[in-house]
Amino acid sequence: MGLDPQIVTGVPEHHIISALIEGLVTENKKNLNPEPGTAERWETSEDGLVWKFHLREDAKWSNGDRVTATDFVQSYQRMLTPSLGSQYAYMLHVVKNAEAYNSGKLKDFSQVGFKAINDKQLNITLKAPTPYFLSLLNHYSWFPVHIPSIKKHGGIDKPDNRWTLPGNFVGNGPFILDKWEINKVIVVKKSPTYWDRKTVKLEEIHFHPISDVEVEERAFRSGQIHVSNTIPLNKIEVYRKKDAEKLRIDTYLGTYFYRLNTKRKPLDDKRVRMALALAVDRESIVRNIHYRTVKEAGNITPPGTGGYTYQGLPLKYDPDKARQLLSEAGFPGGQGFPKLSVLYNSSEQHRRMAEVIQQMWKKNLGIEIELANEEWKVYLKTSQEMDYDISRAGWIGDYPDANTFLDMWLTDGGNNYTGFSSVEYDKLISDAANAPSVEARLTLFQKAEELLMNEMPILPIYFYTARYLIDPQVREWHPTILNHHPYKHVYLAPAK
Amino acid sequence: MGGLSIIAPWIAPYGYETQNLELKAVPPQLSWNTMQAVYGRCTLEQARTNAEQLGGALGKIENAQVAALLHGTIDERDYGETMWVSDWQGAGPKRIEISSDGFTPLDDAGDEATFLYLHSRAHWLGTDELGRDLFTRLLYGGRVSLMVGLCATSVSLTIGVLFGAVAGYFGGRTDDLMMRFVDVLYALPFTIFVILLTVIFERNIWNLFLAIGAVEWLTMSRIVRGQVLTLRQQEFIEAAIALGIPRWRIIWRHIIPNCLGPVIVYTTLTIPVVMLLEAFLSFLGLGVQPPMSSWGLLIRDGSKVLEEFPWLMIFPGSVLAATLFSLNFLGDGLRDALDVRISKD
Amino acid sequence: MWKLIAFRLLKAIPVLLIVATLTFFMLRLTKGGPFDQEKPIQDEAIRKQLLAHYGMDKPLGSQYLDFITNLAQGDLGPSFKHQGRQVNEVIAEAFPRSAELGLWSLAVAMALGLAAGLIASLKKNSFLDYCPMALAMIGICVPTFVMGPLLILSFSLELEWFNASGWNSFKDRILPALTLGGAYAAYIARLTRGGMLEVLSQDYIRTAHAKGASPARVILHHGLRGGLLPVVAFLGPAAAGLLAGSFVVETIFQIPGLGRHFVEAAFNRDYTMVTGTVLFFATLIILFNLIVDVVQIWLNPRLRST
Repeated sequence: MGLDPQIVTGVPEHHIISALIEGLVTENKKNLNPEPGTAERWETSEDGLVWKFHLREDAKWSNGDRVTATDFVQSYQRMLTPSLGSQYAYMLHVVKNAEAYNSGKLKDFSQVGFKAINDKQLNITLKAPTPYFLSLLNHYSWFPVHIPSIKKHGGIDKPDNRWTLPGNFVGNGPFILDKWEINKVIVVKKSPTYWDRKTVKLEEIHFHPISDVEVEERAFRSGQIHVSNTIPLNKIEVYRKKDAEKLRIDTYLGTYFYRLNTKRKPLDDKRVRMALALAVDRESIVRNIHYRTVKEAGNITPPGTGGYTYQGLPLKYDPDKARQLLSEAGFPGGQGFPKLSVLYNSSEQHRRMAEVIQQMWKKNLGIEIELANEEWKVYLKTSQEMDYDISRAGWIGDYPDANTFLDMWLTDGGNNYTGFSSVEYDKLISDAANAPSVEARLTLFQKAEELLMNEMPILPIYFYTARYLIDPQVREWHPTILNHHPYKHVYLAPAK
Repeated sequence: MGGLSIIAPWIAPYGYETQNLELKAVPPQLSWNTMQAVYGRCTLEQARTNAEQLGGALGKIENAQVAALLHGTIDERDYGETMWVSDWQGAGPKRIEISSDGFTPLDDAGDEATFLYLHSRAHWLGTDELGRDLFTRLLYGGRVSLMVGLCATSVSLTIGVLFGAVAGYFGGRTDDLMMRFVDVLYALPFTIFVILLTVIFERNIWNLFLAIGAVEWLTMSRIVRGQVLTLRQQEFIEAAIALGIPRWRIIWRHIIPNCLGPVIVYTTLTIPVVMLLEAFLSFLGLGVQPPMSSWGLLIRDGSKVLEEFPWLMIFPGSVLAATLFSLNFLGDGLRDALDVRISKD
Repeated sequence: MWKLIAFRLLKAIPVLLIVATLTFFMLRLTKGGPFDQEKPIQDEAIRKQLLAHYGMDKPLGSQYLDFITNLAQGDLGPSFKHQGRQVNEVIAEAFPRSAELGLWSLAVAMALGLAAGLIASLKKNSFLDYCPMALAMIGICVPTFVMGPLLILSFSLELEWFNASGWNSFKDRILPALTLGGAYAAYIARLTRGGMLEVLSQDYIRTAHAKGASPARVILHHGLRGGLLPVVAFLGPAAAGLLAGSFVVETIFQIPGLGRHFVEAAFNRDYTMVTGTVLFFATLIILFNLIVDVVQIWLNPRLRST
């Protein structure tokens, strides 16, 4: 847990940091479309490579300093400084020469595509046209940080810098950090220096780090919190019946799937992989385990991601075809099929999923599968070293674009871990990155995903949703694909 | 010795469970005694709608058939299968056939859809959230839990008593060294130790004993040591030493029997702790792997659904409590039987 | 007596050193490190930098030397997980809360446990024996992760007497203290009863009775001294554990104490935090086992000679 946007990597951190710091643009409260933030307007060159951001004059840090274009450039320089070791630095790699500087190959930062023309104008030069560039800017890796504070409290490249502690923290967002007690509470207060302070209605927000979902639900029920992060599965029907208005189920940019290790026999056989995929009854999983709060996934990219919805044949539950494929692969009725194991990290939900799928495979294919749970960090290592047969996985998109779901299956994709490798696939994705038009780009994604679904190195199960509880007093809390809720609009009013 | 007879009921259904292997795979069924089936000819869709109108959840109807079939959800392979249902007043049972367009009653069937209560004798204690029979899971879980409880406790008992007795009897530097060793073990981070074990060794039940045995004997050894320190000063021990009886014999014949009281009490206290600890270890990947379960795991899971599905908590909890009560009586009986002083009278 | 205490405190140093060393190497042997995460660091250079910040790029031997050197100066280092915080600070913030809860629980446990155990042993095989002992058995069977939610559901959500979670007012102490104390009370009750029964059948108690000492004096003066030995031995590590915090109870009641850091640090592979909390706990254990030994000597004057 940390509050340094250039160091943290988690989703919960985003919720807090977005209250404290504002990027060049902000998000529309309903659809997350870019809205003027620290930059009051921007324009882009014809070829889509150069972006000019005009910062507003009244944008202030919480210590009263003006937010200048130089602040942004220095922030990005810190983000890309190799010795900081920032893990989300790759989010900036769309910028010209950013990657080279980040890896230490380029020493001269002035060659990287960030330029402060004057206090008010920031120019960013990209290495290729990036249609989703503006939505990237809302990721905290693109947020500015107050370099003088960072220098004062430990230095630019010290990850254990103390500038994020209350009293030290300087931000430019609608709220300022007031209190931070580990495992207890983080309190943020309305900022007196924020340029749009008129819009901000909440005086304070208290963030409670509650690790246990049952504890969280009880706290919500007793009125201690207004919005929960999630809800225990067994409580869903209870709320549906009694307090339906408090239960929210929002579409979310994430997919739950199983990785199949294509380097291991018999999973190196496409037919076996397909058989396993066809023998999973997603409808039943969604209904019985998730109480219809999630959507069945027949592919990897959630529908409507950045205007993209997979059009290929959806993966259907077809046990007959599955059996047929399995026997074609040499295991009629599951005979002779080796005992594979499903790896998952210790959690009740993953366990349940694995138990159900284990039964489905047993019933439909006649194969025995073993379950193996491992503690989170051990599980990560085992998956990443590809020391598994089948491994549970999930992916939350970093930004609303199909690219974040599709580029990980590249041969050298950092999060591939399935051994899947296809020259054709690699080419489709790299062509998409340089596609002349939005339509052409989406068509290439369609082709790529279809190829992926034919090869089936992964077995999609369902699309995540954000499931949480909310007090009816909370207003302007809209369902958004990234589960972001710009706090400056949120307020409390007595329930109608 | 009355204790044994009380635990007998827990030994008896034990052998019984192996004959019920099929029941282990009973698929999703969300509730216990409210399972409803549709009697009368209707499609799945109609049945669903009807259920919802009566305030039921729609999953339940499908689950009822599934319960009877002992397979997954219905597909073509189940067509032609029949199942027995009876209505909620107890009339019936009637036989229903599953066909491609829903359920068809076989005997004196009316055409209207009536809601029926499925007598499911297979689920005496209800089923869990994946529709598995709780009774069966308790029986299977009992094997794991009793084994862990007894084995791990005996390990900790043996090490703890011997270690404590030796330290207490020899005293001085030996005692000091041995007790500092105990201090070290107390302090080591257990979670890390367990994770380390999961990585280094294959996952199996013996590692579980190792992990539990490694921590649970510590307090035992301190209790025994405290007792022995006192005993050693007593006249009959000094007499024994004066008579030249070998040290080991003194420890074995005189010291240990005389501190059996607290040892037995603490042992009976250790058993539930060990059983619950097993659940934590299994969670970390050491010990039993699902779908196999244990009482500790069942209680742990049940505690999360206390409000919605209380039986999932109550039954495993009661079984554990009953076992401990029995062991406790057994312990009391054992002490009376073994206690040197009482037998002296 | 004072000499014994001084010697024992001196011996604590090697014990702590061994604990620190073992923990250090156990952590490094364990699969997964502090920087392993779902979206791992792709760039080898960045990973190296990150390791270098925490001195983890050096060979294990020199890492160990650094660690021991810093330890000798009382510096446990920065936490990996809680960015910008020193382990010392985190412990200093969390320990008072756990200690407070621990003391309350200990009070509950001692009061309930000793009373129940004494009464049961004096009225052996009567209603006053069976009733508290049955309660104690239930207390042992109902683990804290069941008891806690049960108490919250009935007293916080139904009756609305207490908060469902949090650690702010005095009222927030009551339910967790009952949950935690109740579990230990059950142990103490059983151990007290067992110990007392043992002692009450001893010859010297009969002698004291025969000499015409008042029953109360016999029980309090002679009986308790021997009868409490097992309880005292149990209480040493138990008290250390209570003061250091319970992960389960702190999670259920959302208490920002040390117990959570113990377990969470292990899961996060927060190396410095793990060693910090472990050493802290080791100190508590050593201290309380020392207190136990002193109390045992006090309870049993014949031991003083040794």
